[in-house]
Amino acid sequence: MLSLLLHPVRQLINALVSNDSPQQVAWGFTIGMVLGMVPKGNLIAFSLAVLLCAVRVNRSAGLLAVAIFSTISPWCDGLTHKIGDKLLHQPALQSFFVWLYDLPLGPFIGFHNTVTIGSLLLALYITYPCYYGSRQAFEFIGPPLARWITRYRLGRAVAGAQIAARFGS
Amino acid sequence: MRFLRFSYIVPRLLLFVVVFLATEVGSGHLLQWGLVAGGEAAVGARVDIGRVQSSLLESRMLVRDIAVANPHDPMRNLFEADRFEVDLNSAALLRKKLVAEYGVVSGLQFGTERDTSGALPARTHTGDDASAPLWVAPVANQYADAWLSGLESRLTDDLHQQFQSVRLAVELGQRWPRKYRQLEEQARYIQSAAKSLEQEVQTAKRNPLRHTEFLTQVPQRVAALRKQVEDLQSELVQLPDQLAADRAAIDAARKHDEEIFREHLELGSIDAKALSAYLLGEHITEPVRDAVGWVRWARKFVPSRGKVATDPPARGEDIVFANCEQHPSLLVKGVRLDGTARIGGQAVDLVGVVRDWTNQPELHIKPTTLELTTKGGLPLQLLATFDRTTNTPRDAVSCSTGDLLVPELSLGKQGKLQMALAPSRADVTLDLKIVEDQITGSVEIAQRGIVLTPTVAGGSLGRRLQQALAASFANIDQAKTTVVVSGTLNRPDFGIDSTLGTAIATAVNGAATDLILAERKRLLAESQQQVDAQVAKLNQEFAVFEQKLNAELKAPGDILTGLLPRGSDTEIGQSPFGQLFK
Repeated sequence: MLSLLLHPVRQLINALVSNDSPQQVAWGFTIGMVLGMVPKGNLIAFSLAVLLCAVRVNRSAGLLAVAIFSTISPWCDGLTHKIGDKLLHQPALQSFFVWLYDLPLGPFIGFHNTVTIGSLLLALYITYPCYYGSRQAFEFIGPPLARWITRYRLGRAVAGAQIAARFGS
Repeated sequence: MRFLRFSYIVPRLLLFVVVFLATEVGSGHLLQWGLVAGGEAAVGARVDIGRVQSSLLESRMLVRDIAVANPHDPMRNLFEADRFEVDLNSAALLRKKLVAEYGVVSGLQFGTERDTSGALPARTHTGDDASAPLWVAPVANQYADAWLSGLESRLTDDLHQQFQSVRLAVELGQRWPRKYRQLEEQARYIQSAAKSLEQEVQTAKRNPLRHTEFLTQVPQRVAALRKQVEDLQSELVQLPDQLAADRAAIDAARKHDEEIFREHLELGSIDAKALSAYLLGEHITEPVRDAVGWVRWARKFVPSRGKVATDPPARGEDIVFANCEQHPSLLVKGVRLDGTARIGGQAVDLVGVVRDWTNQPELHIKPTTLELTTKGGLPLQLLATFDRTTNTPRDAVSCSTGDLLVPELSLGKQGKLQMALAPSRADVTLDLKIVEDQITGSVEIAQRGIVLTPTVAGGSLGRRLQQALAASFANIDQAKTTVVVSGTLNRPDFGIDSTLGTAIATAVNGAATDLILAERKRLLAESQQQVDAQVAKLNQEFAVFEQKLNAELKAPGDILTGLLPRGSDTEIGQSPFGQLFK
């Protein structure tokens, strides 16, 4: 139970103290942000999850972002529904949507849901600001924060043996 | 490539391959379980499947040794098939839709026997099969039954015993002789008393002093006897009037007899439709009832059109694009059927096709159709359409067959009018339409080569009627019967109109009426003869009796006249002492 409660904190610490470059951490966070924004249970979310795990980005940062943006995302449903509804009712795109829907696994993509496509669009729209901001954050805040954490016993305990092993070696 | 994390990708790819291979191998068992469970839920009886082979790669399924038990007769199969092979649409499968592009059911057989019961445990009968419906209009049946019962009673009753005039004549023939005997006894008594009195008077005259009292009473006794003689004579005088009254009573009884007989032997004409329903009812409507039952059963597998059911998403709204192809979750585009069946006792090879069967008709634009034809001797064509393209379910079943062997039938009921119909050939055309729950349609049966043999209960009259009917039926060679179906699918009504019924009714009416009229004439003539003979006998007996009684009464009259006191006879009626002391 305690481990479960401390898991997000450990994710954050892992993201800060890992060997990955700030770009990898930022990309991981950005992909996680997109995944967190999109409702789950469709092929878009599944593909983003596979992408997060299959490419060399910081997974912990990604999972942290998933946790954060999955919490925030429902508050944006009003906006994302309007965006998705507007897009899905674009007359020029109807034939494309029909073609896409009629593809094998088409209904599982989930693009025909207003919130899914709206969230995806919103997330893609904020991708670069998110990447830029997170890279800046991890470049400047990450190393001193990691040092500060490892200075205290509690921080080391929370961060676990992984950090200890790294800084002890 | 340096961006990809192969340590993550490769194990998961391997896991996917293993899961896919496991599915390829184990999907047969999973499908077998699903088909048995789903089939049993749909049919309500055991569904046995020997083996299921399936391939996700080839998107094919092969089911072997299928046996579906009949829920109403668990020791028989509704149908069984050797194999059912189907090609599934892989694109539809990727959309969670089961679309069978083409399938083949081979070795199909209907109504085969089972070794074990096909009843499901703890299943309660739903009772939706409209048990015990009145297939033939009960009024017509009761009417025909009553008519035939009336005919039977007319043929079997001892009518002769019911003649009141004959009974009365016989009764009078017994009563009058009793009367004669009684009067004769009275006459003989008077005669005997007169003779006795005469002797006593003669004895008293010889010694009047000793019989003074007797001699004084002789006039009174003579007067009494004379009174009896006069009474008897007056009764004899009245007898002709009584006899005439009795003859009048016989005449009245005879008129009454004729009236009663006219009513009793009056046999109204039987209605041809009622007789058709009575004779052909169960035999003709039974196959139609089966056909309606099959339609009702088949309808259970073609659900009504409903609303497109979609689960609302947890978030947002799912947009349905115009012109977007929507597939039902289960669609059979075409299945070829190949098997055998027994129709009218003949084994025939069946081939057919089921097209466009779906569990969500609202998502399919074509109606479900079933086409069946036979190969070989018995030509049969069946086309059933279950249309759910609109909100009102419309079904149609048409079937035609020629040269169908109609087995030997026994028409009517034992103990009344019964007819044996020898095996014949018939062309049958069935046309049913069902809109929602209302059924309309007709079945036409054209029979040829008919040989009817009647059996009539009821003694010698019955035998005579049977002979007359046999002669009439010899002219009936073919018949056309139309069964009009109406009502609802669960309670259909049948109206039967048959030229066979009309021909039989005409023959029965004619033969029965002729026979009964002849019998009435014969019985009335016979009774008249009996009554006349009885009356003549009465008249003759009376004449003899009258003569005889008059003769018998004459002798005592003379005796009594002789005993009356005369001028010279001073002894009778007077006391000798009276004269002495005068």
